[in-house]
Amino acid sequence: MSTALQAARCERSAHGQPLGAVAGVGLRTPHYEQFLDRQAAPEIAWLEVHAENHFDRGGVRRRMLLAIAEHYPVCIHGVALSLGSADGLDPDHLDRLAALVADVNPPLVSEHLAWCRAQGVYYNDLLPLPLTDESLDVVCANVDQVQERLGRSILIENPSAYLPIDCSTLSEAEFLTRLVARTGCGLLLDLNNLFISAANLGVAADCWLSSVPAAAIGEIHLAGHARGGSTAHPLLIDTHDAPVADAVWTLYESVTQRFGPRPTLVEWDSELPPLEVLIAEAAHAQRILDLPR
Amino acid sequence: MTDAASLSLQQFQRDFAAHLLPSTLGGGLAVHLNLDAPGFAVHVHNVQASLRSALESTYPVTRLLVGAGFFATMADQFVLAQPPSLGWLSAYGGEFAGFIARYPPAGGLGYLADVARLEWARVRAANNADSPGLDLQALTSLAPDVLEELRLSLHPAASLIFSDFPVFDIWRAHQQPDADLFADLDLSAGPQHALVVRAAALEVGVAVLSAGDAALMKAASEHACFGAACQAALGAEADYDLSAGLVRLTAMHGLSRL
Repeated sequence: MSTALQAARCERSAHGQPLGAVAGVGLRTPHYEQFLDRQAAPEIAWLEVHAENHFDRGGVRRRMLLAIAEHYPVCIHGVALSLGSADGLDPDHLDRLAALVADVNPPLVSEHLAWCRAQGVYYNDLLPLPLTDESLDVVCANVDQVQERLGRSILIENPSAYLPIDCSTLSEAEFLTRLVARTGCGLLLDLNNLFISAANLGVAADCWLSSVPAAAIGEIHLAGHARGGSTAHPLLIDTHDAPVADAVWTLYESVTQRFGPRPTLVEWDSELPPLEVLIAEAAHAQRILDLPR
Repeated sequence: MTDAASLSLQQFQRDFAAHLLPSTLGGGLAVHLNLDAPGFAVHVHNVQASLRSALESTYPVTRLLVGAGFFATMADQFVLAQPPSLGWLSAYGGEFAGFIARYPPAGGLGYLADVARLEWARVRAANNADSPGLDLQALTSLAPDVLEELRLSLHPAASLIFSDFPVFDIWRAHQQPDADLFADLDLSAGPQHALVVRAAALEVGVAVLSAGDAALMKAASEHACFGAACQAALGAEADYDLSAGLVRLTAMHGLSRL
């Protein structure tokens, strides 16, 4: 990690403060008005937005976000940077991410171990990488480029896996461990994704958790999932349209007991319920964060 | 190239992508991919359904006009023909109106593409950078010959929708999902011209224009001189109140200058 990057990590202003062991919720467009109403401000420790929903500088959504960020810490979570692209990053995309991060000054910035772009087409899905030495070189180069551009380290999230990639030569945990060592990035541990990958591909969650560097985990994600696939080939699907599953809460409690508490976000993207339901999910997470250990 | 060991990441991604939106790119046979695995279908579904959903969000009235099933088929065809190139979906779908105009099953619905253009203009009005626009007060201090030659333009967040159909009435009548389709609409009511603007910092506005306002805005969109734009407005509408029109269009954030 460069000295400049280390210096940038230390340089924080008001809302760039570290979050601590608190639970937040994903901020989604239908709830903006409630967060902008200062007479009845929803009580939540922090919020997170999808970066790409606010890429239009000067647009209505960007303005609303900046108004909300005056009163709540807001983290930036990218979903389309395509860190796994062999074609490299889209310079315009990185420019817009950098401008958003400069405007919002988020406590945390994160992206996924995935790709979503090839030959100039954007596919709007987190697509799986063959986990090989070549892919590791590609992701490391892309993460380095992002971190240098943003002047800060980012967190990389483990994606939901649906499909075994036969040419992989590394486990996901091994890949992420080497990525952290080479780039100085942190990890965003998505426990719903880990649970899904474990069910779909037979990854042993406990083994995964024992392998990755716990100190690098800077944030935890929780979300709901659904059953899909077929009778012959059942799959769990990362739908973000339901409460967090009981089994994922159990996993969360064991992880926080084992590694200590981390800033935790409850994500909910489709079939969005009233904000109160999301805040109740975050309160559930907060009770687990506050357990004695 | 199908030998997994020698497959480059770039080739892997091209082959994989070619099977997500099958008509967009020529892919290899890709026997190295588990195309028949149920997990591959999850990705195919995520890509196609999420892009269709993005179009549904941008074009709710267009969808109401043709029904969910017709719209889904049309949207899926558009996604295959013109998939997104940018990773932020507020930029996706600007060519949809043109696609609709050439889409044979919608051939009898002449107004449909115009409604789609209006809906896209609303997205751009919300997402384009806000700007103060034309300062009428400042224009009063200009010498007459300088003012005459000043080149106008549309405000950066504004769009003009010129239609042979009552596009504004059609759009306004379908603001509720249970709208009684066409109950009080006269489709032969003739042309209608709409202006879509960033009415305020957090607000998008849509207004129907009089013949004089429309002529002035069209001239501005073509970067006409101030004098020529005023003449166009006066020529298009008998008794057009020019100063009231300029105040109105400027207050709506419709106008700017080069």
